[in-house]
Formats: sequence, C-alpha cells, structure tokens
Amino acid sequence: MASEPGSRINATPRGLCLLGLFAIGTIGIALAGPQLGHAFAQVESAEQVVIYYGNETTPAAAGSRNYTLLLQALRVDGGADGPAIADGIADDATISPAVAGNEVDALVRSCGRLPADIAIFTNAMAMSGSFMFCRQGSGVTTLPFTGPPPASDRILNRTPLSRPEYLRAALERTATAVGKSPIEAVLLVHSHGSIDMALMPRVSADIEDLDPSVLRRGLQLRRGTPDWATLKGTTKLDLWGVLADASNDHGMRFALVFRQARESGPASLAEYAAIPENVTWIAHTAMADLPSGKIDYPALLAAAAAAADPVEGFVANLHSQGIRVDGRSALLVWLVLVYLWSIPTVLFFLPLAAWLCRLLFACMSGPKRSTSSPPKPA
Amino acid sequence: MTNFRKGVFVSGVAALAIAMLGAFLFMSHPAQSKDNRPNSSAADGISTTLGF
Repeated sequence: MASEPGSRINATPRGLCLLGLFAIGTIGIALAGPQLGHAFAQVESAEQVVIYYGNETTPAAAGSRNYTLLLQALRVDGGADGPAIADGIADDATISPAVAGNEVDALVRSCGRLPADIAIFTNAMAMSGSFMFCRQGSGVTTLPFTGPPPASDRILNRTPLSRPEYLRAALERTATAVGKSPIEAVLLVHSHGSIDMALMPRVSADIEDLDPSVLRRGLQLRRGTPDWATLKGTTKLDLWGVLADASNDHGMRFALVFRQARESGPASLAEYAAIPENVTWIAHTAMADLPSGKIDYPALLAAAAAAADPVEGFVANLHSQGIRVDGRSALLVWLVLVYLWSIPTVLFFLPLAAWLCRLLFACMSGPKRSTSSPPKPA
Repeated sequence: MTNFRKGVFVSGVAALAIAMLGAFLFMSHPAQSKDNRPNSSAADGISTTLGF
C-alpha cells in the first residue's frame, strides 16, 4: 500500500513525541514509585478508629435554673407556639440523652465485631472525667479523659462537648489511646446544630440574670438576636479547624465525618474552603431536620462490620438511611444550590414579569405606530 | 421572523426558564420538608433567633 510522502514526514515527529512521553512516564513512575508505594502502604496500614462524639443534653442543663425560667417564660409569655416550644425543650431533656445512650450501647455491642478501634465520648462521660475505648479484638475499657479548664460560660459548661476545645482534647486522647500512626478515623458527631453551628447545646440562651421584662419583650417581638441569645458552641468553621489540627498533630485522617445534626450541610464557600484535605467523605443532613433517634445505629454498625472496608459500609448505610454523603466535589455542587436557595423566590419571577410588561407595552403601542405612519407613495 | 420578534421570543424563553428554575428551587427547598416535631434536634424560627 502506497503512502503519501507528506504523511510519513508528519508521522515521525508524532512518533517521537509519543516515545518521549512514554520515556518520561516510565522515568516518572520509576522515581515516584517508591514514594507512592510508601504512601499507599501508609494508608493500607493505617489504624482504623470509629470516634463517637455525642453532645447530648445533660441533667445539669435540664435541671438548671435557666431551663426552669425559660420554660416558664415560654409557657406564659411565649405566644401561641410558646407552650409547644417549651414542651419540645422539655422533651429533649429526656430524649436526647436516651438516644445518645442507645447509640453508645450499639457501639459497645459492636466492639469485637467491627474491624476498628472505637472511642466513645459523651457529655455524661466527659463530666465524670472518662471515655470508653474498645481496641479492635478486645473488650471495652473506661479510660480517664481530662478536658480543658471550664469555660467562662455556664451554659457551655453544662454541655462541655459543645466546645471546640473538648473536641480537640477528645481527638488527642483518641490518638493516644490508639497509640499508632497514621490513624484513619470515622468521626460520628451527634449534636444539636444549626446552619452555622456544628456543635451546640439545645438551649444557648442564658436568661438566669436577665430582667424578666427584657425576656418578655424578646419573646413577644421575636426579632433580632440579642447577646443573651447568641448560639454557643462550635461553629462549622471551627470544627474543620480542629480536624485540620488533628491531622497535623496526630497524623489523623478522616475517611468519613458524619455531622449528625439538623442543617448540618455546608453553609458557605468559606466553610468549603476550610475543609481540610484529610477529609474524604462528609455525611450531613443538608438543610433538613434530623428527628431524634432517626439514625439506626445497630444497622449502621452491622453494615460497617459486614463490609470489606468499614468506611464503605458506613457510607452505604448512611446513604440508605436518607443521609447525604458527599465527597468534596459533590459538596461544591450542593453549595451552588444553597446559594440559589438563599435568593428570594420572587426574584426568579421578575424577568418573566418584566418580559410580560414589555410585551404588553409593545402590543398596546404597536397599532398606534402603524396608524401614525405616513401613507406610502403610490 | 424580524429581529424584534426574535428578541422577544428569546428573552421570553429565558425569562420563563429563570422562573421555572425559581419554581423548582422553591419546591425542592429542604425547608419545605422540615420536621417540626417537638423532639427535633432544635426548634426553628423564634427558637433559633432567641437561642433555643
């Protein structure tokens, strides 16, 4: 078969280019191979640990004078829905610790079956200076856990795991208990939450020293956020900062972070930018509610124990329980939706309204123009 | 079709598309399906504003 001379001339440089690329690729793989192998080996040999961080409502908070005054004020001066909100807060005082207790029981039962270490932190444990730890293949032990000094805020001291300092201390204590590095963690954070807060108590408002008339006015007006009502705890940005520090300080990477709270999706591009590189999967409730006890922990842990890779089991089961589980890129898509949702709906209809007005104007002014036009010459 | 009519048609389609996007976003907003049971993780509205 004859070929054109020109094509042979063009084929030679192309072939050389391919050969060159092949050579560069081979040299690159040869040079980077040991490094890549080392990195993969590190991931492969990473010690897996499931960390449960349960920021439940405590008896100290529920039995405080703050709660008593607030519930009373809501029932008397809270308006039409005040009593319902008061009932919700009162119910949470029993439901929240009960749900956390059930989740802890499920985790304890999975000790020995789950191919990972398990570290369990709750407010009740932290306030008694301990946490639970299960080393893979052995039983559960209770170990000492000393948190940071008390905060200046009494609300936070009644639910200490709301504080970022406690999360930092819990991760540090977990790293010490695991005793190996690197660590691949699955972090399950159960808390009350809001669009900005990752960890917070059920009641942030501190009204113990508040003038009753100020509270009454606040309940009636329901506008603005006075100082005494500022949400307290760990913001979503703070949470990622703590996880980034855990990576730097303890060689910890997070295969999955489950923010088990209402409105736990990413809130802003600033938060997205703060997510450290050492986080792979993020499970969240987007902008939706999360009724207490919705997550079936026995099923979740059974799925993780049955899977070849526990992380895959967690991800698949959380997804099947209606939780959004996103990687970093999918999270960005979600953020676009968040920003679009923040635009008032009526603005989307303005262009159509303007177009209809313009059309109407054109229809009305059209015939006038034709009548006023000069007659064409014959 | 004159340029004027083309312009009207294209701008109308664009305006309709934007309105449909708005309607879709409104319908799919997670707040539409929020569970306001008292035992939810936190109450909303007044509650978030006033710290409970």
